[in-house]
Parts: sequence; structure tokens; C-alpha cells
Amino acid sequence: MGAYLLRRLASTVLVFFLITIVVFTLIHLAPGDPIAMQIPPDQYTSATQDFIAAKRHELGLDRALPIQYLTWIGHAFTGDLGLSIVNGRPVSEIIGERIVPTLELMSLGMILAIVIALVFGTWAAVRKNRIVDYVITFFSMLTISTPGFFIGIMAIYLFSVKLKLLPSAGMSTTGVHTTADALKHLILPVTILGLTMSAGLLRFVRGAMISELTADYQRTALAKGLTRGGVVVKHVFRNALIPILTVIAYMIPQLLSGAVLIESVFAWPGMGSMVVDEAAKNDFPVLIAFAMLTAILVLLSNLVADVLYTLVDPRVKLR
Amino acid sequence: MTATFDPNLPAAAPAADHSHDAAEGLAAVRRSPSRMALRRYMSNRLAVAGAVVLVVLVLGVLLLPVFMHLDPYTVDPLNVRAKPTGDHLLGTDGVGRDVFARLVYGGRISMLIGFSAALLAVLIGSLIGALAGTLGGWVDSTFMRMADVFMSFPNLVAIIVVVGIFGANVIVMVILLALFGWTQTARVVRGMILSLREREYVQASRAFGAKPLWLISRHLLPAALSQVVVLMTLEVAGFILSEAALSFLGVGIQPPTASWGNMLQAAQQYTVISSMPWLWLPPGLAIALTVLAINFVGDGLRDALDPRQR
Repeated sequence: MGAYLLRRLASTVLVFFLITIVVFTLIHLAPGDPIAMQIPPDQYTSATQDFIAAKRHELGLDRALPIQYLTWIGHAFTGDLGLSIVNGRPVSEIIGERIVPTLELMSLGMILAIVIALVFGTWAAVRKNRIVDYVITFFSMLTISTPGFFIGIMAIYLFSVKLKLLPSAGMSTTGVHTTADALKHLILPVTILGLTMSAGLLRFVRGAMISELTADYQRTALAKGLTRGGVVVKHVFRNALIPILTVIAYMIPQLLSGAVLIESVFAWPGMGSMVVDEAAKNDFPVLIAFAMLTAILVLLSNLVADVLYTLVDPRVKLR
Repeated sequence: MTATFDPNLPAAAPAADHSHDAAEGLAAVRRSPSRMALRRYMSNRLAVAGAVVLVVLVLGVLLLPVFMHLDPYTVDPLNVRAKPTGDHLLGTDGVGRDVFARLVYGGRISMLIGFSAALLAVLIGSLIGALAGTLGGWVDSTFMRMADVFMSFPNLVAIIVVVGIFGANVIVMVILLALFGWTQTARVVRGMILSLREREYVQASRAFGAKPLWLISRHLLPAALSQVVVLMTLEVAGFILSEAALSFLGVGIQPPTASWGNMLQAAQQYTVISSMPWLWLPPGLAIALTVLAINFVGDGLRDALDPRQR
């Protein structure tokens, strides 16, 4: 186990550095000078040229790319992610204030998605090829096929515009600082994110449960005198949970994609809405930092998935 | 035994049809695999409905501009965000363009991106999967590690970053989507090859001195084709959704070119959501209907082409 973990960790670190190199190179290959972009064309004079050159030197943009990369990665390890080209603020500060709302949205959405998928996936599996199964399967297919942000827009139209029940944007009403208000703002974004994330998982849960339901040990358990409900809870569910757990861990990166869209629809002040804004402004340091955080999230959840898989199922051999 | 005409024989076959399993068994003897697949597909009602809807939608976006006058580009500042009328079936958008015309032309772009990105992704994936599977060794492990990274990295996030830097048009979008969407095909093709290359007919071919390229094109790709077709169908659906998401965020297809995704960008404003549903409801429903139809076709194809995988 120890050797496996070490090897797995080493390859994770290696892949992480490869990703950062690719992202860094890609972003610096981009056409368009991020500093020149901020100067209106009508104010472009010969003096501006010197200003741009000086600014480039100040930010270290005039040095060779490998040097820039090494400087950047060295600073990154001390928590210094550079300064935003657009407004000069430290990137770590910008990310710091954006990361909490995103993590809040993602974790709550994830929990909801898991609950929906486990409950309805199991229900559909137990009632396979009956009307309940057809209805659940159809709705999960419909959810997979509809863009999450479009479901969000429809939800705003229904619950904010028509029924006036829930707020449509932000984390709180300006000037109001109550828990009830914050909770009200959470309902729509979390529900829509959870719903869209649940659909794929639900289909997987259904499949995993069905294959366990037809396994021989469940006939044995029934023959021993257990009730059908008891078999499902005690045996089938616990065995089906093994593949489901790993799929959940692999789902985390996709959750980030979903959060980016949901944040844009509900004006949620997280990293998703930030990265969409910064992408439009070519703010390299912010974009690189975001890509790096994404890479860490992806690699960690893959690592967790692999380790979980070996931990929960003793039959899996480590290589 | 003499070959005499037996009048009971034709009657015996239909009688066996009452039992489904027996009919399948007989069919296996008499029909070609493709006809059996077609039969299985046609017996799946959702898959047939999906195919019909998809054909109608594709023909609609292709042929409507031929039969009626549709102008998705002319701006009319005096007639902005007008409600649906006889002149403008679905009203006009923020700069007075006809929403119905944009819906039709936007459908062309969205479907074009979906289909061509899926085709490109499958080509890249088959090539990489075939190389990894046939050559093995370090080529295999390098490609598969690469696939791991591409597969787990949230492609929406990656494309936002890349498009934010390079800008987007139809070709860039197709290439980027394919670049982040080849991994599944590569895995399937590689897996096929690993299991097929131990088969006797492939070993025989190799014993006769066949080169890897010959083995790939003659023996391995044909065997993997049905799975690849299924994957491609499902990828078309996924890519149409990705295009919609990216264009909705403003990092995809840029106006004046219409796409279903960038038509939904109007709904970034609360007033549009609250009082102008004709601007966002049609493109959203069009995406959902198209993707749903394609997913049903894909599922139907999978069940029809590979009955073992149910």
C-alpha cells in the first residue's frame, strides 16, 4: 500500500508540473499584449510605446519564457501568485475572496446530487422496467440533455419572476445580513447545480444497483429469510456503493464546470464568474492561477478516487 | 436425405416467433448482422422517435431558408425586442433582428459544430487509440496518461481559458472541442485492440507478415466501428451542449453569427428573463430537443449494435 501510494503521488506531482508548463506556455503564446490592450487606441502615442516596454519589464514579461515559468512557480510555492495585470491586485487575494462562495456552491450541490442520485437511482433499479423506472430514466435523460444554465433561467422565470418566492442573483440582499436571507439565495443555485449533476450519477447508480440486484448472493440472502428491503439495504446497497464512490470522486472536476455556468446565471460571486470576466480581459496571472487550482483539484480527486477504490474493495489488487 | 419440398417448414418459422428468444435464435441463422441491428433499433420506440425528431430538425435548419425568406442579420433599431407577430414569428432581439431566422441559422451553426467536432474527436481518438493499442510500451503509457489528464480536466474550464486568449470562431471551437473530447474513443479503440489482437485471425494475419497499419485498417477498426459510431453520436450531443454553454458565457461563437448558445446570452439580463421569454425560450428548447433526440438515437444504437451490453 505504501509503495503504491508513493508511486501514485509521484506521478500526480509529475502530471501537475506538466499541466502547469502547458498552461503557462499556452497563455504566453497568446496573441495580443495584455498591457497594450488596456490603452485606448486614440491615446496611443510614441510615449505609450516606452510606457508599455517599462511596464513589461516591471512585470517580467520581457524575459525568456522558461525563466518566467521558473520565477512564477517559485513564487507560487510561497503563496505569491503574482499581480493581476488588469487592476494590479495580488492574484492570491482575488482568488481568496472568490474561492469560498464557489466551494460552498460546489459542496452543497454535490451533496444534493448524491442524495438525488442514490434515492432515485436505487428506486428505479428496484422497480426495473416498471412505470417508476421509466419515469425516472426519462427525467434523468431530459436533465442530461438540457443545458444546466437553461434550467437555471427557467427556474428564475418561474420562482423569481412569476411566483416571487426566491431571489434570482447574488449571495445576499444588499444591506441585509440574516441567515434566512443567505439561505434563500442558496436555494436556486444549489438545487439547479445538484439537479444537473445528479442525472449522470443517477444512471450510473441505477446500473450498479441492477447488476448487484441480479447477483447470486442476493438470492442466498432471500433464501436465508431476509426481507427484500433488508437485502437491498444490507447487501446490495453496500456492494453497489463501491463503484459509485469512485465515480463520485471522478465527478468533482465536472462539478467545477457546472459551477462556472451556474455562477454566471445567478450572478454568484465565485471563481466561475471571475474567470469568465478575466478571460475577456486577457488577465494572464489570474487565468494561470485558476487553471493551476483546477489542475490541483482534478489530480487530487483522481488520487482520492484511486485510493478509495483500493480501500473499499479488498479484491482490487494494487499495482 | 433427399431435398424434398416440405410444406411444414415455412409455417414452422412464424410459429416460433411467438417466443422472443426463439425468434432471435432463428434470426441469427438467417439474417445479416446489420439487418438484425436495424430490427432491434426499430423495436425501440424512443430511439425511433429520436431519429424522426432529429431528421425533422436537421432538415428544418437546412431547408427552411430555401423555402421562406429568412434574414438573421438585418438590424432594425426602431423595432427592438418586439413581441412575436406575423412579421416576426418569434419577435425580434436586442438590435431588432428576427429571432426565428436566427433560430434557424443558429441551429445550422450549433449542429455543424456538434457534428464536425464529434467527427474530428472520433478521428483523433481512433488514431491515438489504435497507435497506443498496437504499439504498446511507452507509446501506450504516454498516450493513456495524456488521456487521463484530458478526460479529467473540466473541458469547459480549459476551453474558457484558451478561448479567452485566442478568441473563438467556428473552426477554433470545433478544434478545441475535439481536442478535449477524443479520450473516450481512444480508450474504447485501444481496449478493442488489446482484446482483438490475441484472436486467431489477427495472429494469422500477423504471421503472414502484415504490417501494423494493415492490421489496424483491415481487422481492428472494422471491429471497433460500431462502438465508435455510438460514442460519436453521444459526443455530438455533448458538443452541442458545450457550444451552448461557451457561447452563453460569451466565449464561444460571437455575434452577428447566430448560434443557439449565443442567442441565450440575452438571458444574462434579468429584464429579458422576466419580460421577453421569446428571446430565450426557443433556443433553449431547441437545444434540449435536439440533444434529447440525439441521446435517444445514441442509446438505441448502442443497444441495437451491441446486444451484449444491455
